[in-house]
Amino acid sequence: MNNYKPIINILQTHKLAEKIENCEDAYKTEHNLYVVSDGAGQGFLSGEWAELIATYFCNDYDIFLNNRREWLKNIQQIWQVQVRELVELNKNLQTQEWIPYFNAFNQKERAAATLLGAKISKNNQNLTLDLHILGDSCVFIISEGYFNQQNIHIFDSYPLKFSTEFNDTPYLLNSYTEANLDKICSFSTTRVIQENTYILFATDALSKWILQQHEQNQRGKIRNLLTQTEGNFDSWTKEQKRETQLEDDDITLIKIEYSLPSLDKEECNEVVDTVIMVTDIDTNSKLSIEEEQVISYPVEEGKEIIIASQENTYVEEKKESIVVLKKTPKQEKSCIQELEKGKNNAGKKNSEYLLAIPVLLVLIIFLFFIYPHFASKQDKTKQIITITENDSDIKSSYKESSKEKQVDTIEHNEQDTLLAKGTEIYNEQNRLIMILRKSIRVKINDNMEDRSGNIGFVYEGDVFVSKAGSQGEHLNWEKKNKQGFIEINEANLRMEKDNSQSANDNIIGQLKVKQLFDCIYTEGDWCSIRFTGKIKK
Amino acid sequence: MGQYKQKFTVATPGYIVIMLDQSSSMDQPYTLGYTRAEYAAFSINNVIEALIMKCDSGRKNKCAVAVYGYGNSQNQSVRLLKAGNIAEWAAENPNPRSYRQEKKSSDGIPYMEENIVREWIKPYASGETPTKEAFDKIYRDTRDWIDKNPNSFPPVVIHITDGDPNEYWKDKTFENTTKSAKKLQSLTTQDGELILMNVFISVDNNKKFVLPASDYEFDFNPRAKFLFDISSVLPKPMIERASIALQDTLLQEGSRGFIFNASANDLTKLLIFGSTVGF
Repeated sequence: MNNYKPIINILQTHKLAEKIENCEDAYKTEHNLYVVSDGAGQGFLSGEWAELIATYFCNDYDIFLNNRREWLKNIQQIWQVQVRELVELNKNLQTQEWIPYFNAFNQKERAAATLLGAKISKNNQNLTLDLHILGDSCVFIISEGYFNQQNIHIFDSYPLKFSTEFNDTPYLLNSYTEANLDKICSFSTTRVIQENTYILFATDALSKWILQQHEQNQRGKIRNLLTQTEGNFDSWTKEQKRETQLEDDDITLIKIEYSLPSLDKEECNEVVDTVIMVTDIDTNSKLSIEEEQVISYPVEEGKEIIIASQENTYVEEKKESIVVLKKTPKQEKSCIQELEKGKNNAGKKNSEYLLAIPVLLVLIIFLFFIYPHFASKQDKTKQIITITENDSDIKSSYKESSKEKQVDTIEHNEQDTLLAKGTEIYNEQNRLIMILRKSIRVKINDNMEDRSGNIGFVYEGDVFVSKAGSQGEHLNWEKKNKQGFIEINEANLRMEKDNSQSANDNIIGQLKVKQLFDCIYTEGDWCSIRFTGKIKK
Repeated sequence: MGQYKQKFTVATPGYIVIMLDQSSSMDQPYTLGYTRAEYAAFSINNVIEALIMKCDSGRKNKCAVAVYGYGNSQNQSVRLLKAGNIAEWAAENPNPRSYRQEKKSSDGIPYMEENIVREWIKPYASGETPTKEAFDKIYRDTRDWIDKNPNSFPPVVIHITDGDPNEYWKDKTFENTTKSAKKLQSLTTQDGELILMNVFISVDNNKKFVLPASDYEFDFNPRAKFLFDISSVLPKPMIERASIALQDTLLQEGSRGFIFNASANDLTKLLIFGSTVGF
């Protein structure tokens, strides 16, 4: 398992001039289930209906998965019983509401609400969201790198991608009919957890606002949203309603933050898996090593890298640009050590947890791998290593490393050793995710088995696909309307910046492959990804 | 034309004004044994019940309602019959009466639906038709409301009549009444101009016009022409609501908030879609 712990915060507020008890949003979190439901303002007792949807999404999740009709019918019956009792009660008490309740119930006035439900599962570094969405409440997946304007980051939203997609007539579940039940969109998506990955579930007004800020590149405002607490969320929303584009509506936000736990002594008594972390300060990306594994981490001039570890993790083998690490079994009283840039006393403060092995690791890497190439800027106390070698040195080290790698990986030639700068590629179970900053051309090497396979990427909701040309090139991108993944079989890809393509920045690429990758090298304008699977020649 | 995007909320409430002709001609038979005055009062009470329901059973003051009557009662030609935010209407239970009507379920099975309607507005019919004076008074009161609610959806004024203004009886002209109506229409919130809708109720359904976009078909009829002229072009949200309510009517851009020779059913539908547009 990894050590990323979800920290859950739920924030809710109401429309201006109203009270929180009149808020018609509902939410529920239970175990790994999360749900937000937005009651429609024009419906009859829609807030109560939204509560039922949220409650029974969690309580009857299995029924929801297996038989949605039964699930909906059940809560509709519960709703009708509750409303009947409410009408009778108010009639007997002759309250102010009894006549409108009576009329609405007799007229079969409907309650209506959206549904945004998710089951979140963690598997090692992967986070899988099983999503069930109807209406315009949105889920966002955002990594910390997004806020730092780093090339490597995630910003995804479902089901809506653009603020202009919101309207006054979202799909809703109602309290009387099966309308829209078949329109619930269910799908799964998997991400590799990075440090400070946020999963947000938001009702429509806040979802629209987030997308507006994203479209205007106001990332700081989204970052600011994530710092809000229960105590100040109300005033924050009022300010945004006044000064930005936040619409006046009930607002609910479930914020799940995946980050490493803090280092207090209580946590050190927990049984935790050993782990070794490699942190790239520039991008804040981290590699978390959990199995015996070969790492070849790319470095660039001026880049700082933090390497931290915990006790009983040791270096088994070290070769130039390759560090072989092996984790030990679970240990008690072991702690994860993450060192942050700029904390001058971090090493001292946490010295009790930084035992000999991680220091040894750092020293070995320093002496054999990094030292020959960089100047003496490093601060051992902070465990920060500054890389200052030039590009050519790095390039050669990559080549050497690939030749020495003792896994059943296809050998790649010199041409496919580089990756477009600013391109993120990482492995997500069987899916390769690319985040590209430039338009791309993809070439398939001669030694690939399936040269005819389509490849593609997704940009702003549109899929661009291409078949390999006679030279294995993918030059003619065809825009498809349907979003999805395109499979290719065992292949060795090369991507390069191609100015002839429409120069779209921030291309979000999603490329599905059948094989796992383990090594990624980045530099310059090229990339190389190697399969761990065998290739037929 | 404004945006007409602001919803009725507690912070930005809507304002529904009903201007009811209470002249003596409203005592004429209209439908199902009701006189025009009786059915108009019932329809108004019914729509207020609907508005209360839309405002969380009166718990949320998402709109205010004012009903004006004009005719001749106790020497007052124009009377504010009742006004207040929706909670104030909901807090009163004047003469609640149960009535049943046959409905059909979605699979066509008939059933009786029972509803209760309170009688905030009582039927009344007497005297002349001081339409201009009514527009003038509503202008003053509505301007005051807008001053307090500048960001709201603009007020919706629904005028129910069965006859011609006094001015026409006396001078064969609609000029001054038209000016007063246009002045009322000029009132504006930040979301758009006031929407004035006119319903001419009648049992003569042969010459019925529902939300017309042009007046060429009734140019010969000065009464219809006058009411068409003082009716607002409906904004898009209102057209959408009207299209749902009046399924058998083809609406187009430029349709005006005007029904000529409206049946009881037409009156009920217009009151509902006209008053609930901001929800």
